[in-house]
Amino acid sequence: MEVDRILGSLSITDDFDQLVDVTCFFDELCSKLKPETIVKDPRFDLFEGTHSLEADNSKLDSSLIELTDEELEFDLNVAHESPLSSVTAIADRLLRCVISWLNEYQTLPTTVLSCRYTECLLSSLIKGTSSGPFWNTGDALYDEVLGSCVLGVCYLAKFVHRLLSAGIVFEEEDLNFNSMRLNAFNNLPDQDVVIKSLINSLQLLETYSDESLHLVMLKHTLKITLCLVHLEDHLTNYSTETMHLDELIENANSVNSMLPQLQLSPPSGSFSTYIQKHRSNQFPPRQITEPPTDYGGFIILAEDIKTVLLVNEAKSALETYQFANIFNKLKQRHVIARILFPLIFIRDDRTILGKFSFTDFYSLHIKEFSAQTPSEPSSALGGELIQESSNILLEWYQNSSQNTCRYRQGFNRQLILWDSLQAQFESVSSKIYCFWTYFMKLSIMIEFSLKGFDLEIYKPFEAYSMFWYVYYLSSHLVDLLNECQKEIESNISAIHSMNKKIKKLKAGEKKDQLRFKYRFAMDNEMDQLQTTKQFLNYLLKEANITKSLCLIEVFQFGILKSFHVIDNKNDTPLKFSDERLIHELRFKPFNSIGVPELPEHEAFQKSLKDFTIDREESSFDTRLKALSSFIEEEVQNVNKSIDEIISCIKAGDNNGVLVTGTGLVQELSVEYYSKLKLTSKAIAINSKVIMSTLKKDTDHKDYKVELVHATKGWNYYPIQTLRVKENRRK
Amino acid sequence: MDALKLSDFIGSTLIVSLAEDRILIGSLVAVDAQMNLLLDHVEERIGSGSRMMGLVSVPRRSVQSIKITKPMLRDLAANKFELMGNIV
Repeated sequence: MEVDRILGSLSITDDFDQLVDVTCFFDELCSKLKPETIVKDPRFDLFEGTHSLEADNSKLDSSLIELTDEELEFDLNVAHESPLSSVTAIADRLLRCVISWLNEYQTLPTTVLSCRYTECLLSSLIKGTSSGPFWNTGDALYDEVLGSCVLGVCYLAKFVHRLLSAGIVFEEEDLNFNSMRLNAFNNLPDQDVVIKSLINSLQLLETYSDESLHLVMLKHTLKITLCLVHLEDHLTNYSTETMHLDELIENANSVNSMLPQLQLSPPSGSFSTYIQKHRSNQFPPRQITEPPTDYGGFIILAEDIKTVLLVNEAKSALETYQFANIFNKLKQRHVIARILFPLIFIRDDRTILGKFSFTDFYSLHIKEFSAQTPSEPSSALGGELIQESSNILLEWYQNSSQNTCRYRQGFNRQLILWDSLQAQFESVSSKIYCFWTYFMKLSIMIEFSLKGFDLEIYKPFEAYSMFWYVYYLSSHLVDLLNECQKEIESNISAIHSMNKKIKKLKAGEKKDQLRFKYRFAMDNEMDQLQTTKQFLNYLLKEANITKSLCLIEVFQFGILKSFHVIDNKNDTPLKFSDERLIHELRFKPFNSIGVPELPEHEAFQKSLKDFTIDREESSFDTRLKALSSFIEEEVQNVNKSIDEIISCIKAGDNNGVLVTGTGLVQELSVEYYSKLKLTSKAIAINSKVIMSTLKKDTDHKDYKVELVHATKGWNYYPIQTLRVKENRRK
Repeated sequence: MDALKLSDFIGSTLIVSLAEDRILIGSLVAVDAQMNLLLDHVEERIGSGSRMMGLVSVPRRSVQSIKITKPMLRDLAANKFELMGNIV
């Protein structure tokens, strides 16, 4: 009865006899609400509502996209005038859209999917057509050649989707795959069909007698597409063959030299926002991307994949470790290369590079670091602990290919994992595991801290605390490495002393046994001991460089503070916080680390006092001069160490002095140390500039400090640069 | 009629007509005092074409009409009636 009463009070429209118009009813109910009231689903978070599209708002509503007549009337079944130049222009723009999508982090709908032919092909796949032709103009250039090119690009997109699904990188951040619900990639024909289609098109073009540049260009675009279709071989078959990558580079270079001579203009309407207006779309309208003007992006893609493939040649854990350390460090690699690295390295068959089980690979690290064959810790926890450790190690490897920001974030998470691992190994008294775990943890803590300077996370006033802390960490690292070195030395001495004993012993069974033991050690252990010794020498040099550079930065801060140009606290008064809270927030990631313990805030303050010279002191100038000499000397030591490392990298690991394990990334490593050297020199120059400027000018209140990255230098050590405050100019 | 409140319509599928034969069909997530609507899982229909648009806010000024299917309204009312009966 009540139901009928309710329905009876509402008007049922004539047009839709199953629909009831509730507009007035809603109006009436809303008018009774307080102006600020929102009636909502209790499970719905209004913050989520901020991501909604707004109907009738031209910035948010893709239905309001205005299309030109050419876009609206674009007919895919019509061959446009001058088919050769038109098809070449479409294929060229489509490939440049691929670069825009993958190299410049643009969205799929504003790049590849803005091509009407791509949309058409994917729609056809949804409808069940998988072998083409996808459009029917009657012209082979459109129907076959362009068809195969678009098919190839879609096949690449399918591969990219597969990579994205592996969950290595973050969608929207590293790669966009908004397919506008054109989920037809799985309906694409197999790789061999796509390749055949492209080869047929190339053969077809061979029959054309036209000698124009357009024809040459079109052939290049097909060859490039063919190379792109082959990219999946590196994952599907773990192929290390670089022929297609070399061809990609070669063709891209040829196109780059041809492009300036070509006037390529795709038919009006062939690239459009049409898809955004007509397909399922949960995003605001966006202009289609203006793609890059050359094919340099493909060269970067191919070079970066080639770099990643080098990891297959690693002969030791030192080499894989150094590879992961450096390959993505100097510049962020192409997203495809960054995804491929962990997928190639940590394979689906649960092996590392198809050679080692996860735990064997882990043990290899311990063995190469300690020159001892590790046995599982005797505790009942042993097996589980090794498994856990190997997982954490693999996570470290995965983290190395993350984008520059996620890389640091990943280390933040790893800090706790390595710390807990070290504590667990300590509880089962396993020295070699402890040493290596501690080494990894300290290295990660240093990397995490210094990476913040690269990402410009720290304010200038925080530079002191961060550098002093890294100095503190690197001191611990140096101590640890010295201890490891002692162990190695003692093992080497033990072997040598066997030889002396043999000489002293009289002939007999005892002598034979010792001789056998000695030979075994010389044949099986000495090489590894020497390699590890030289690797530790390298690590010690590296740690001492970090320690020295941090100390120099700390001294510079001390000088600046001595002149009252900066202090290690924010100069803006804070209403809701204080310097201690801000300091503790910055050091929060290290708060729970057991060893080395995070120094108290007071310790930071006290140390700064020690680095600061009182201006009233009579010995101010003398101490300043001494500081300047110290910095100069320290920089010289740093540069000397860097030069030694560089020459050893160039000489390879058989140089007899240092084993760097950088054989696979030799050039990159040299580049890295060269940058570091340049930075060290820049810091030394800065010291002189600071002192001469501040000694000359008595009004130091007009100066402020900025953290500036040295051009072509290494951003982990910014230059604490003096700047004149803006109001002085006014 | 008085028995149904706005909160009863939350989660219901509304058919919202906008200008130029544009219809948005979606599940009501929120509504404010100005009758601005927030709809989720929105399907847009223009002529014979249809596409999905996800979460869409519809300002009152754009709304020409709000409709609901008769069976759904009947269910809403029935549920309300049952609920009120239980309370009594």
